[in-house]
Amino acid sequence: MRALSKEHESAMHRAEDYVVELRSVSKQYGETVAVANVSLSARRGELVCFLGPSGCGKTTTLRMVAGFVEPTSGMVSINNIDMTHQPPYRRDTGMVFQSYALFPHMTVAENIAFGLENLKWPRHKREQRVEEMLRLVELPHLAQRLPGQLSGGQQQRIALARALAMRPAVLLLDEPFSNLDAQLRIRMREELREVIRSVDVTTLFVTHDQEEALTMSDRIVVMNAGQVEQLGTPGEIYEAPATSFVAQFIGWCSLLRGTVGPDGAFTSTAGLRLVGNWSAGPGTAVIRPEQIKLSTDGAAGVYLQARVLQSNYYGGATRIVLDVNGEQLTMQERFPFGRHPKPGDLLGVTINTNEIRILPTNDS
Amino acid sequence: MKHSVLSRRIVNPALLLAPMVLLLAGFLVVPVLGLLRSSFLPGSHLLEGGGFSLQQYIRFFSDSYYSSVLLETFIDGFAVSLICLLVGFPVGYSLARLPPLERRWRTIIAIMPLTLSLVVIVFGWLIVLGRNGVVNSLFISLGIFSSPKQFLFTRPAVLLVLVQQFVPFMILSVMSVVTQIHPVLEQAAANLRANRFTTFRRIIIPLAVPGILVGFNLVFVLSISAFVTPRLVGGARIAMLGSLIYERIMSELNWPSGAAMAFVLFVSGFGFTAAINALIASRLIAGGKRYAV
Ligand SMILES: Nc1ncnc2c1ncn2[C@@H]1O[C@H](COP(=O)(O)OP(=O)(O)OP(=O)(O)O)[C@@H](O)[C@H]1O
Ligand SMILES: [Mg+2]
Repeated sequence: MRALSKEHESAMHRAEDYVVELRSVSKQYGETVAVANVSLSARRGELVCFLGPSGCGKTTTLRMVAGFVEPTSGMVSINNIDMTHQPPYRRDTGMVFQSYALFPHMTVAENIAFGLENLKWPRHKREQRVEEMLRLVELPHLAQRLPGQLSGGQQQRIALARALAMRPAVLLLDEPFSNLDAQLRIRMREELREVIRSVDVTTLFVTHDQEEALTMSDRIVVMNAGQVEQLGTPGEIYEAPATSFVAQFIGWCSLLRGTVGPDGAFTSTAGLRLVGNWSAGPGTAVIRPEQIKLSTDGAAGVYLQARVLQSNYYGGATRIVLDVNGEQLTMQERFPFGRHPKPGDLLGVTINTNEIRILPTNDS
Repeated sequence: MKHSVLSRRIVNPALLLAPMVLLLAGFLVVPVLGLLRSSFLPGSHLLEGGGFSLQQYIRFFSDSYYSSVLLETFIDGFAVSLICLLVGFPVGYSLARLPPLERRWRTIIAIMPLTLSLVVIVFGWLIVLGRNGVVNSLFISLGIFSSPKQFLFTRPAVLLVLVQQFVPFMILSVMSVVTQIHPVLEQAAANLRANRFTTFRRIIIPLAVPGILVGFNLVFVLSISAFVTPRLVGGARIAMLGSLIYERIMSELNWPSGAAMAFVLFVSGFGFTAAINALIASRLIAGGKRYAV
């Protein structure tokens, strides 16, 4: 009896936990496979980001959640209700479009109230909610403006307020910052993160900006050619990439092909040897710039002689491409003023092999 | 190189307008002023000497026949515009939402009637609607009618033919305005829980008002001034002011009277469309609020 009720309780818990679920969702346009077999479960309040190169199916996936695109196969459920074939207006989602899509003939307040009117909220509750939302995005003085009279950043915030006003189960954002300049983008990113935290809404977010994805998300779905390459926290994605695509797409890295011998050491095709304790077989080593250090006394790792091939100054640091035993490696270092290396210079470097991942070679 | 050529003004803009202005002045303004002058002549003939009188206008407004024809003309014009709107809006809307390539040839089909001579269209309808016409023979052979029905020379027939003639104007104006309404707005509305009807009523219609008004005005003005269709399809029994004016001038050669009627039609038509524009614009655009089209 007790056990049964416990089981019941945990089932209820699970029901509450997943606000959005995609089960093997695919979308085909004729011969083109836009999205293939994408699965995802997002918990309440979680911010999940879809990251990938242009045309990899991010927007299509988001639109299948919103209901603008019907999946060829698979299932989309929101709050554990199958929504796969429901029209957009029956789905509990709020979307911020890339172009904001504010209604040009309605004031800011009318735009925000539009969803509430359709949900048949009584007038005074609507007005109250509009005010609340305008305060949330810190634009209460713009209630009577028309969208055409707002700046890009203001339109973006109104679009967010409009989407959140209905208290949707899922907030959907498709590259919401792509129309903003670089500085505003970073400010809006922080603001958006804060707003999402404060209203505790499950959020699916599309971007092709890895920095945006790493700083904002709880989990990242890395997509390539319609498929999920890896699903994980920003830390997992960066530190333990599942495929060489993920390794290359997120952050800078050098990929070395080679084999791990029976002793656990890696030898690249050009002959660069990294001592470690990896499992034997052919593999690709993923070396991040920060794993290569200028060799100083006491630095841990393999000491190597390197020749500078390229040197790019970034202000805070210099990114240099090195030739080490015939392999090209990228490192990043802050050099003392006036002592930036030039192509042709010789440097001593150590590679910290502790954090290096070797991917088994079976993908590209 | 190109830049310097473009930035230099080759011709004064006023010169570019000159041919059009001269054409309009010579062949529209002058004759219309002449017509206006002749409407103030007292007699029933152009050559019956000069003078200035309001006699033509007094006769028009004192005879209830004319005012009833005027009213009927307006009601017909309004009905034709309304039917064109109802028929043309869905067509114009769906054309606007097609990909450009598919839109192109469908648009050509939609405006095809405009390329046909009015005489061809009207005689086509005479064949279709006549006593021994296509419709009657069909319905009789199907056993729905026992004897041929009178379609021609009725008011519905006149309206039908006018709608068929003028609906392309409505389709074109609706299409051009709907192409300016980005489909993402409809998606945004759907995302905000608006069903199709609400989206249509609250988003599409208000944003399409400029095109609706242009189409409505065009069809209305064309309908109230039509004279070939009412005469040929409506016959002598169905009077519209246009055909009355035509008869007065071309058959009776009574220019002063015809001119006065033409001016009454012109002024009242202008006033009516202005009134409708003001009314519809304030009603439909954002519930009468601030949105400037
Ligand atoms: N309506 C459509 N008809 C045909 N193909 C489509 C359609 N929509 C998208 N596609 C194709 O599906 C693939 C995925 O498109 P999608 O818009 O989801 O990419 P994305 O990841 O959002 O790219 P971006 O970063 O450039 O926005 C693309 O190859 C695209 O050409
Ligand atoms: Mg996209």
